[in-house]
Amino acid sequence: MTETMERTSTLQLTPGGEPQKHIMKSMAIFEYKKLSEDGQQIKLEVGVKGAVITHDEHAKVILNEGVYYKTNQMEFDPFNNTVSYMFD
Amino acid sequence: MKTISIEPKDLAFLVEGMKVDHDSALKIWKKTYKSFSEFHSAIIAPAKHEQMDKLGDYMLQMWDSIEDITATEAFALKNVEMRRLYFKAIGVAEMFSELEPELIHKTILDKQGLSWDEKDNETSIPIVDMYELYKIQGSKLFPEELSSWRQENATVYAVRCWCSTTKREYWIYVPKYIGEKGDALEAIAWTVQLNITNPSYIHRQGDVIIAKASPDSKECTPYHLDASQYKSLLISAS
Repeated sequence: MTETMERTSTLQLTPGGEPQKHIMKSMAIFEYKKLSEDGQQIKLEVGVKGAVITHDEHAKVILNEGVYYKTNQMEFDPFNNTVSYMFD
Repeated sequence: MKTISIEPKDLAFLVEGMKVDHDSALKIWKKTYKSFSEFHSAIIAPAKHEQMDKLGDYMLQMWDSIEDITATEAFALKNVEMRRLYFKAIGVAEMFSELEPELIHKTILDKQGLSWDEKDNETSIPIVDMYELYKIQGSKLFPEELSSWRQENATVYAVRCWCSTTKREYWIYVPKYIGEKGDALEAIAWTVQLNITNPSYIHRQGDVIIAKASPDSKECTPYHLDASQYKSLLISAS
């Protein structure tokens, strides 16, 4: 069965938050699919033009052609024994 | 600024599902949410309720006058559940800086990695990340717990690390079973959870993780990395 993917050339990789953080851009359209309702897990399919992920405080990351899976670091809460995503 | 008509001192406040008094609720919220706008986005706006809007107006009036919570104040609380709420609001960085935690293990991840110049050319650079694993004994946090098992179960572990770009310090709580391994690299590896088998490598940009799928990768139930996986898969960190 073929997956339904969204298409774009710019994508904010962290839900909400400030718009300058973790922005993925490409000179060409790339495809993505949110794998979790909270938008933290995203499948990314990058074409031959590649893509760049920028952030105002961190060095950029270049993605070559291929399939990628984005997620966030996790943290534990010892006071209610839960695990959640971190946000910087 | 408009004056609101509710009497907040007469209201019941629920924080994390626990009924708390007016003063404690305000202090916990102020400590948890570093600004009124952050508090409003997390608590008031999602409720979409008139009474919550009034509470938001009240909190805006009160915000600057709400007293700070300290670890010392948290320790003075007799109610263990209330103390737990205060500890949580104080946050891991302040908890571990104020409470003289025990350093369990310190390690440096030193390997070759990738970076990109202004023209997006790939260059090889060393990744040199230091990680420290600390613990605070449960007997220190909850001394009134009578059984040694309950005291030991309340022990908390955190890994300390530094952003290689900003040099900012981060503390991340990890579960007890990870802390008990006594390995700082195991602790930081646990913070990365992937949902594909056989990844080729991972990039880390701040708290965002990007895993490259290999030809035989399949989506799977999320799993935490171990130290050897983290060390071998990480090819860029910024």
